[in-house]
Amino acid sequence: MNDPENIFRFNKRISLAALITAIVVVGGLGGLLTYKATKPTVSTIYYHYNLQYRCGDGTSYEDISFAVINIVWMYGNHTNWNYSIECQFMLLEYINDNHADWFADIKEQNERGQLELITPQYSDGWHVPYPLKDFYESVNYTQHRMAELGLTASNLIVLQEGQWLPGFTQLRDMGNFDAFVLHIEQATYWKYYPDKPILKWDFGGYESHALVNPRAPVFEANTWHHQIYAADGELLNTGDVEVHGGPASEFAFNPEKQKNHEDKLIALEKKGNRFMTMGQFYDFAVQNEKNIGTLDKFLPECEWVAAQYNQYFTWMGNGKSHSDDGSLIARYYNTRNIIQATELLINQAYEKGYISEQNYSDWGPYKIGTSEGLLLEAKKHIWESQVSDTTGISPSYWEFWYGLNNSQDAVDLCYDVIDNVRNELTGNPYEPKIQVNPYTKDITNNSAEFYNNTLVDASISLSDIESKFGFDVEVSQSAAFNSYGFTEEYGKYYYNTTDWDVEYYKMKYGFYGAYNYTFDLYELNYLTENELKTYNTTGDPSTRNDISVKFTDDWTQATYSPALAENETVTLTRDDYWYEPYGIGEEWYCLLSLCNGLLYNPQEGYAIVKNCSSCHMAANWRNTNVEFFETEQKYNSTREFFIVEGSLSDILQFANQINSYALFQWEAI
Amino acid sequence: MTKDPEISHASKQEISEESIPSAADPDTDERDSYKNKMLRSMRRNILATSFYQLLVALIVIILPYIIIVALELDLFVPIFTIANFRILVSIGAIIIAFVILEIVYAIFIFRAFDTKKGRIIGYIVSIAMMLFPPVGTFFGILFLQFILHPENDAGRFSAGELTKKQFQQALGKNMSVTGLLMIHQPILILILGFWLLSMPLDMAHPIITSELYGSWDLFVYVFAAFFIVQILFGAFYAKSGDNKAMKAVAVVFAVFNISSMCLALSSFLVYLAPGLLDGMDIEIAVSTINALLVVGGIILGIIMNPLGLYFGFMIIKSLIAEEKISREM
Repeated sequence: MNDPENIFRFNKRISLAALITAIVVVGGLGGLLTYKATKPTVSTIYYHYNLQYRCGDGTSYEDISFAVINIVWMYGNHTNWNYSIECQFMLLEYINDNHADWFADIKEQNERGQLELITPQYSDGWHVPYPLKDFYESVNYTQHRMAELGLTASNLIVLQEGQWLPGFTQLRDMGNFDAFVLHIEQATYWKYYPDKPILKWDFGGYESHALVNPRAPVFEANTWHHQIYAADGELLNTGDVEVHGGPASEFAFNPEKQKNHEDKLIALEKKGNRFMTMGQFYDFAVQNEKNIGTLDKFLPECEWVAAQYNQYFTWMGNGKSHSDDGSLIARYYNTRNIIQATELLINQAYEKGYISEQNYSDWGPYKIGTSEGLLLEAKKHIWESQVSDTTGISPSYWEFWYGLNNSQDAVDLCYDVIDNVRNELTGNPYEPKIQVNPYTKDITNNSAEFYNNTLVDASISLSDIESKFGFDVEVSQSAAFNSYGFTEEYGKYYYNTTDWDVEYYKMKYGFYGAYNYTFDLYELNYLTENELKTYNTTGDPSTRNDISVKFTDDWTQATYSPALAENETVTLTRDDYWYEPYGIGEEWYCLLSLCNGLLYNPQEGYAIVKNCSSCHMAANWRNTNVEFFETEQKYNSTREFFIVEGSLSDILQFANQINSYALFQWEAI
Repeated sequence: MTKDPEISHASKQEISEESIPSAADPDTDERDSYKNKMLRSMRRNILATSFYQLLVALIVIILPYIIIVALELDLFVPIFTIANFRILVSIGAIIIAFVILEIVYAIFIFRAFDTKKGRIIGYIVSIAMMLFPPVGTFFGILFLQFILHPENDAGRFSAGELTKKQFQQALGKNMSVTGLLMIHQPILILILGFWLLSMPLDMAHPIITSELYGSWDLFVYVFAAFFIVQILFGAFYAKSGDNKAMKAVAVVFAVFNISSMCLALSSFLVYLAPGLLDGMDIEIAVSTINALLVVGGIILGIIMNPLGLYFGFMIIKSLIAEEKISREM
C-alpha cells in the first residue's frame, strides 16, 4: 500500500479518525486541566509525632524531640507554609522541660498561626477499650496545660493511631473542639464513602463534626485538596532506613530525608500550592454549607489504615511480640476503676470536711498552683500506660513493662490516697468496711445497703447455660496446650442491692500461656526475660497459646456501647459492613471493643457481659457467632463472661456497674 | 495483478452475494488489492488495540488486587476502592471478552469482512475499540470508516490524476490533525505529574524530588511546543512545493512522533536509577544500568506510544510517496 494514491486515501481516513479522537481525548483532558485551573490547590499536612514511640526508652525521647524541632526549623525558613503537628502533650512538656529554646521556637510559630498543634490528650493513649472518663480527663488536663504554657490548641481532634471513636461527641462542650478527624480509609473500611469534607455526626444526643481526611488528592470545598502527609513524623526525618509503611529502626535525625521532603514542598510551592493547617482547612470549608454533609451510618471504632491492622486486632487481640493485649488492657481497666473509686472517696471526704483543703490539694485529682495531687499523678500514670504502643505493633519487653509499671504506680498512689483519707480523721465514716460505688456515686458503711453477689447454684454446667440461652459455646486453644487443658467454672449468681437485682450466669476459663506465670492485678514483681524463661510451660518459649471463646447463635444484629459512650447503646446489623469484601474468602473483622463489657443479642434478648478487668479483648462479630479471640498468649490468663437475660436498659446498668463504674469494697482499717 | 490469497478463502456464494466489488468492474483487481491491504492493516490495528485493552484489563484487575487485597489500602488511588473491587474485576472480565472477540475477529477478518454478519460483528468490534481512547478510539474510528466505505475514494483518482498539491494538502492536514491529537501527551504528563506531586508519595525517599518534577515540566513544555509547531507546520505544508527544508522538518516531526515517549521514559528511568539502586542495595556499574534503562525506556516508549509510532511512520511513507509523485511528474 505504498503507492501514492493509497497513501493519499489513507491520509484522509487518518485525518478524520485523528480529528475525532483529538476532540475526545484532548477535549477531555483539556477540560479536566481547565477545571483544575479554576480550583486553587490547597494542601494540608500533619506530622504525627509520638514521644512514646518506644515508650520507656529515654534516648528515643531525645531523638524524637530533635526530629520535631528540625521540622519546626525547616518551616521557620518558609513562613508562608502553614502546617500541623499532632502529638501528645507529653512531647511538648518534654521539650519545654529540657530545651527551652526549642520550645520558644515552637511557641513562636504557634502564636503566629503557622504551626497548628493538634494536641488533645496528655499521653498517646488508645481509647478504644475504655469508657469516657480517662479520655475526658486527659483532654481536660491537656487543654489547661496548653493554655498555661501559652500554646493555642487546635480546634480538631486527631488521636494516636488515627483512632476513630464515634463516641467522641460525649466530650460535649469540653475544650474548643469543632471536629474529630475521620480518615477516609476508616470510612471505607466500614463500607461508607463520604462525599463531603465535613460530616455532621449526631450521637448520644450531641452533635459535632467529623472532618474527612483524604489520602489521595480530591476536588472538594471548591479546591483541589491534597493531604501531603498524615503519618508518623519520625518516618519522615529520622532513621537510616528509607521506610515506606514500617517503623524506622531508630530515631536519629536524618537531614537527607528531611531535605528531600523540603524539596517536594518547594516543588509544590512552585506550582502555586497554598499550605494550610488542618484547622484552617476546616475553618475554610465549614463556611460553606455545601461542604457539610451528614454522617448517616454508624462507623465503629477503628485505627487508620484499618484494613492493614484488621480494624484494631493488632491492639486488642494479636499477641505478637512481648505483650498480651487482653490481660494488659484488663489491668489498665482495673487500675482506672481503682482511680475512679479513689476519686469518689477523696472528693466526698473533702466535701464532707473529713480532710483539709491542703490535704485535698496534696492527695487529690487536680493541679493547684504548681502542685499536682497524688491522684492526678496516678491518672497521669494510667494515661501513660494506656499508650497504644504497649499492646500494638510488636511491643518490646520494656514497652510491655512500661505499661505494667505505670499502671502499678497508679495503683500504689491510689492506695496511698485511700489510706491517707481513711486514716486522716479518727472516727471518719470510711474507717469501717465500706463500699464505694462510682455508678451511684455513693459510699456506704451500712452493710444493709451493700451490693451482694451471691452464688445461688454451683451445679450449673455449660450445657445448662447453652440450653437456657440457646447458643453454643466453643472453647479452644493451641494444640500444643491441649495436654495442659484449661480450667472451667460455671455458676448462677444473684447480684442485688436494696432496690435493684440481676440474675446472671458466670462462665470462667483459665488458660496457660507460654510461661506458667500470672501477673497479679495489685502486686507486681519485675522479671527479667531470663527469669521469665524458668516459667516456660511447654519447654519451648516460642510456643504460644491462641485462645478462642466463641458463642454461636443468630447474631445478625448486635447491640453494644461504643468507646467513650458507656451509657449509650447502638444496635447494628452485620450485613451493613464488609465481611468478605473481595469474595475470595478473606474476612474483614468487625471488632466490638465493649468498653463496658456489654454485647447484647437483640434477636434472642440476652447479653454476654465480658469482665473487662479479667481479660479485655475485642469480640469479633459475625452473623452466626461472636468470637473472643487472642493469639500468641505468653502468660496465664482468665476470661470471664456473665450471661444475662432481660431488658437492654437493665443489662446496660449491670454491665456498667460491674465494669465501667466498678464497685469496690474495702475492709475496715 | 493477482488477488491476495486471503480473499480466496471466502466462499463463492459469499463473494457473489455480498462482496462489494462486482466482477464486471474493471478496477476490481486493484480495489481488492487495496481492500486486502487495508484489511491487513486493520488486523494489525485491531491486534494492537487488543494489546492495550489487555493491559487496561490487567490494570483493572491486578492493580486492585495489589492495592486493595495485598497492600490492604483503600482510596489511596481513587476508583480502586473496596466498594468498586468486584465491579473492577467485572469490567476487567468484560474487557478481556472484548479482547478475545477482537483477536478472533482479527484472525478471521478476511472471511468475516465479506459477510453481512461479519460486518455487523465488525461494527461491534469497532465500537469496543473506540471505548479505549486514545489508541482504541483512533483505530476503532479508522476501522469503522473502513467498514462503512471499504472502497473510499477509489476510482475518483487515478495515479495520473492525483496532483502533488492535493497530496501535500492531505499530508499537511494529516500532520496538523495528528499533531493536535498528540497534544494529549503533554497534557497527560502534566496532569499525571501534578497528581503524583499531590499524592502522599516519596515523602522522605530520594527517588522523586523537586528536580525530577522540574525536568518533568520541561518535557511538558518541549512536547507541547513540538506538537503545536507541528499543527502550524501542517497547515503551511501544502505551500512548500519542492522545498527540501520543509521536507526535512517534516522528517524531524515524524521522528519526534515516533520517539517522544522513548526520550521521556529513558530520561525518567535514568533519573530514577540512583535512587532505585540505593533502595534495592544492588551493586552494579552506573554506566551499565544507565544503558539498560535507556534501552528499557526506548522499548517502553515504543509500547506506550503506538499512535506516535503510527503517525510518524505514516508521515515518512507519505513523504516517500510524495517524492514518487514528483518523479512521475
